This record gives sequence, C-alpha cells and structure tokens, in this order.
Amino acid sequence: MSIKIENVRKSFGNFHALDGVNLEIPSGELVALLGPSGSGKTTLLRILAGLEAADSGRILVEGRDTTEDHVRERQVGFVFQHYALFRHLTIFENVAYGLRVKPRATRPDKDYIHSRVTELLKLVQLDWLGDRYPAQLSGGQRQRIALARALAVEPRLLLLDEPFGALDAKVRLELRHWLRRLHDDLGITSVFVTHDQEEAMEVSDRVVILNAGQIEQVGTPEEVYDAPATPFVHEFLGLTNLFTGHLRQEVLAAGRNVKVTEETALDDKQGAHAYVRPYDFEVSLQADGEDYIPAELRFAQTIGNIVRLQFIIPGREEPVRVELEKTKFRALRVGIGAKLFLKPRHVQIFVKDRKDAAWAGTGS
Amino acid sequence: MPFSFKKRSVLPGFGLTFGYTLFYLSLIVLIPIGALFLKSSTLTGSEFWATVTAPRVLASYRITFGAAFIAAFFNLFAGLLIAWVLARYEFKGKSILDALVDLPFALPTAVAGIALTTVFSVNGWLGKPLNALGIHVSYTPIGIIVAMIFISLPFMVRTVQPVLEDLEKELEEASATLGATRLQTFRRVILPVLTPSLFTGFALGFARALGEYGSIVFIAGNMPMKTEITPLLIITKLEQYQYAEATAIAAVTLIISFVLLLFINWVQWHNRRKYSL
Repeated sequence: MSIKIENVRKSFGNFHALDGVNLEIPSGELVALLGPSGSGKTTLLRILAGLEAADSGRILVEGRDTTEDHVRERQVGFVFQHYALFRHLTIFENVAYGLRVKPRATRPDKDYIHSRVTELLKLVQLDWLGDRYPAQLSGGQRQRIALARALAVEPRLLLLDEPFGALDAKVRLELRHWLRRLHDDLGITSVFVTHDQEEAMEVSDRVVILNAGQIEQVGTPEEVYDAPATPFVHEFLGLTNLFTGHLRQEVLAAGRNVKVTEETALDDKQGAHAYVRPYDFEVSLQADGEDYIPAELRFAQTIGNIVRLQFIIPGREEPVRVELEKTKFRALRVGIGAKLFLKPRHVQIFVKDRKDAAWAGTGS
Repeated sequence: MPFSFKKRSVLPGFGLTFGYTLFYLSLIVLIPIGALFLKSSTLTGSEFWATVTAPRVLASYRITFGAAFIAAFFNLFAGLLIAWVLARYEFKGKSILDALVDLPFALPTAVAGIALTTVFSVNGWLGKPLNALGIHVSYTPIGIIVAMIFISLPFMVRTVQPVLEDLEKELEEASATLGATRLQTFRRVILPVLTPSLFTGFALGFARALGEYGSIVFIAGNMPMKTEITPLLIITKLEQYQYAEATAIAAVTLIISFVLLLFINWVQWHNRRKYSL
C-alpha cells in the first residue's frame, strides 16, 4: 500500500508539531521516522493512523484521499509504545478483539476466529500463553502480543510508535530483527517511529529524519549516514566533533580526504562547519606533515574492544573525542597527559548558506 | 523459621501503627458495636426473634433495603454519567459543577430533608407538575428513594471519577484502530475497567442510604408498614424506653449490611485476582 503525504501541517496551540511535511512511502517498504523528541515524528504517525487530524494537507493511500476517513475505516494496524493491551481480557481475547468487533455481516465465525488467533499467536511464537492475562507477561512478550493483535484484522499498513522504547536493551535487539523478518514475510507496508538512530539504521529500508516539524532528509540508512544533507542529520546520527571556521580554497584543493557537500558559492572566507567522527582520527606520536594537529590526552576509557579518548587542542574549549581500537592504543604506549598528534581521515564539511537558514545556526 | 505475624519489610513502625490501628478501631468501631450486641442479648432468644420479625419491623426492612438498593442502582447510572462528564470534557463552570457534587456530603441532612420536602410537596416546584402526572413523591416510598439518591450520589461520582481520569487514552485508541465502534469500545474496553469502581461506589452509596435518617423522616411521612424506615423505628423504640428491642433491630440491620458489604468486597477481590496477578 503506497502512501503519499502532501504538505501536512499540525499545531498544538503555538507549537508547530508538523510544518509542511511531504513524503512518499512506496508499497512494501519498512520506513523509520527518526528524530529527537518534539520533532513531530509521533504526530505524523498518528495522523497516518487517523488518531490525529491534520490542520491542513492530504494523505493519499494508493492515490485515494483518506484525510477524512475515520480510524476504524483505515485498515491500519497500530502498535503503541506501552502496548495498550486490554488487561481484563486474556491474551487470546486480546488478539481476537479486532475480529470480534467486526460488523455482524463480516464477522467471522467462532472456528475461524479460533484458528486465526492460534495462527497469529504461533507467528509471534507465544501460542502457549493464550489463557494468561497481560499482567502475567514480560514487556517483550506483551509487545509481541500487541503486534499480533494489530495484525489480526489484516491491516494494509502497520504503524509502530516507538515499539521497543520501553524494553531492555537485549530484548530490544531481538525484537528488532524479528520485526524485520516479520515485515518481509508478511509483505505489508510498515512505518515505525524511533528516536534511536541505531535502531532506525538497522531495521529500515529507508530512514526519514525529522527535526522541528520538518523533514531533514529521506534516504537509505547508508545514504543518510554517508551523505547527510544537513549538519543536524550528521550530528543526530552519532557522536561527532564539530570544528567551526572559514573554508579556504587551498584546503578544498588540497582536500584529498575532505568531502564537500556544498560546493556552491565558496568564496575565500566562507563560514563552515567541519565534522569529524571519533573513529575518523589517526593518532600518532609524531607529526608527519602539516595536516597533524597537536593534542594532549586528557581522558581514556576502555569499553570492550574500543578505547574512548578525549584530547585537548590549544585554542579550543571542547575536548576532541577520539575512538581507537584497543590494540592500536596499546601500541602507542602512552598515558594521560601525553602530547600526541591527531589527523582527521575524513571530514564532513557544511558551508553556511545564507539562503538556507534551516541549518545556518547549527553547531556550538 | 519461627512463626512471624508480620512479613519482613523495610517500612519501619509496623508495631506502633498496627497497635494504634487496632486501638482506634476498637475504640471507635468495635466497642460501640459490641455494646450494641451485648444490650440486645438481654433479650431471650424467642423475645429477640419476635422483636426482629414483627410485621412492622419486617416492613421497615423491606422499605429501607429496597429503597436503598433502588437509590444506589439509580446512582450507578446517574453517578457514572456525571463522573464521565466531569472527567472527560472541559467546559466553562466545570469547577462549580464539580463542587456541587459534594454538596450532599456537606449539607446537614435535616436541611436536605426540608429542602426536598418543600420542592416535592403537593404545591412544590417539582411536586406540583409530578402530582398532575399522577406521581406522588412526598409521603410515599418514592420520596424515600429520592432522599437516598440525593445523599448517596457523591459516593458514586467520587469513586468512579478518578478511575475515568486515569483511564489510558491508548486503550480506546487501540480499540478504534482495531475497528471497534464507540459503543463497542465503551462496552468492551471502558466498562470492564470501571466495573470495580462502580461496585465500590454502589456499595458505599447503598451503605450510606441504609443509614440515612435525617433527610428521610421529613419527606417519608413515616406511616407504619408503608413509609417507615428502620432507623426511625429504632428511634421510636428508644423513645419508648425499649432499649433492648431497639438494639436487636439495629443488630439485625448491622449484620445484613455487613454481609452485603463483605459480599461486594469478595467480588472485588475476585476480580482483582483474576486480572492482575
């Protein structure tokens, strides 16, 4: 089921939750709406479901305008962050709910309901829990039941609102992969909301990054990570170091390692944001050229196979965050206070463009 | 392991607070009620039986328990509706309406009785049109029910309202996305969540109506066998210095009420155990 969102706006009082959103979701894709809290991602999902009405704009489903349709006519499956299971009903009855409330004319008979619910409980691998009540289940189990319940009415579109947000890390990881497999098996269109960039990158076909009610970028996980459209996207997708300054032509010319995302209108002293990810630094004992920055090691912490380092650079208040493999760090044979040299391997540069005020003020 | 009455807990002060609870309940509840039973035991078995099964007494039980049940049942719907409006909608003057609900709590019951009698009397604002329709409220069992509805309404509203306010919006949304109509959502999702509080509200309202005296005696007319409530009968016995008879009737009322409340508590406990282990 393909979806087209046209210029959707929504305000709550003075707060613009969605500020003119346009998006197309092709049939069969698993799409992640990613953004910080307050970015409008949940509002967009709820408008898709019909739980919230847009102030203006249209939602087209396979070319048909569904903006005015009532929730129960939309044939969407909705999974809530806190499961929203009916606690007075057994697991079986929870899953059967959507079938039991169908209009009399289309309501399936008892045998069908029984076999359909059993089939769904098998699908979520919890068919042995049918007689229990939601309070007796763990969080991960409840969320799987919530999914089975949503799937019972054979929705054309599955919407998930931070489905793994309330679960612990290990269960979250398991359910992620499981959701991906389920989506592929069922062949439906799914949209899920998350603020966890790792989750979005790992599970989805395409990531939609939202900020302050607007879409910053749409693309495959690889695209948005390797070629972020805005500084916001780069900053949101992982730890990074920001260097502000002016871009000179010769840096650009010499920039074997420098990637320029905005090549227009580069005059001599263009204000620019340069980002370097912590793992994109080379750390050495001597400077082998002019690209090396002198730095003093201030802090080191080993986490598994990685050592997280913080360096102080003269003339800069913020420490520079660097990640090294443990073996590489050991090979340096240095400790806190050592004077070392950093060389960025890969720099992502954003030039401040007066036309695009959206990210002109980003950075610190 | 030695037998211990108290389970291990990090909360301090069990001994002190439990002791105080026992002492206080004894002083305020158990001792007076014990005295009541003691006094009624001055009657012989047959005297006791004759007193509590006298036709006039039986009639008063019927009218008191019957009217209290009907009043509580009526408030089940009226109270739910008022609680629903107060909990779910925002409107001007909501706080005034909210305060109005508590008025029967605060009003001296005699004042309520006089006010109701005035309004429902043959020439009263409501009594006159109702009389024209052939419905007589004052000096009939209907008057007793009206007074009981009035004084027990807040119990229903105040027990259901917080539960409605806490009701997760997601449950209704989930129900809607699964294709349920509003009526189906109410019947299958909201009502089951409310049921325990409806039971409690019913029990409290029923108990309150059973014990009501002040407002009813004004509107009921107090005709023996017809509109005479048990509390009034007890007062009448007391005024005739028949203390033992009065306490016997009181004891029976007490036991019936206690059994009813116990039953409702048992239903509650049963429900709780079923849904959330």
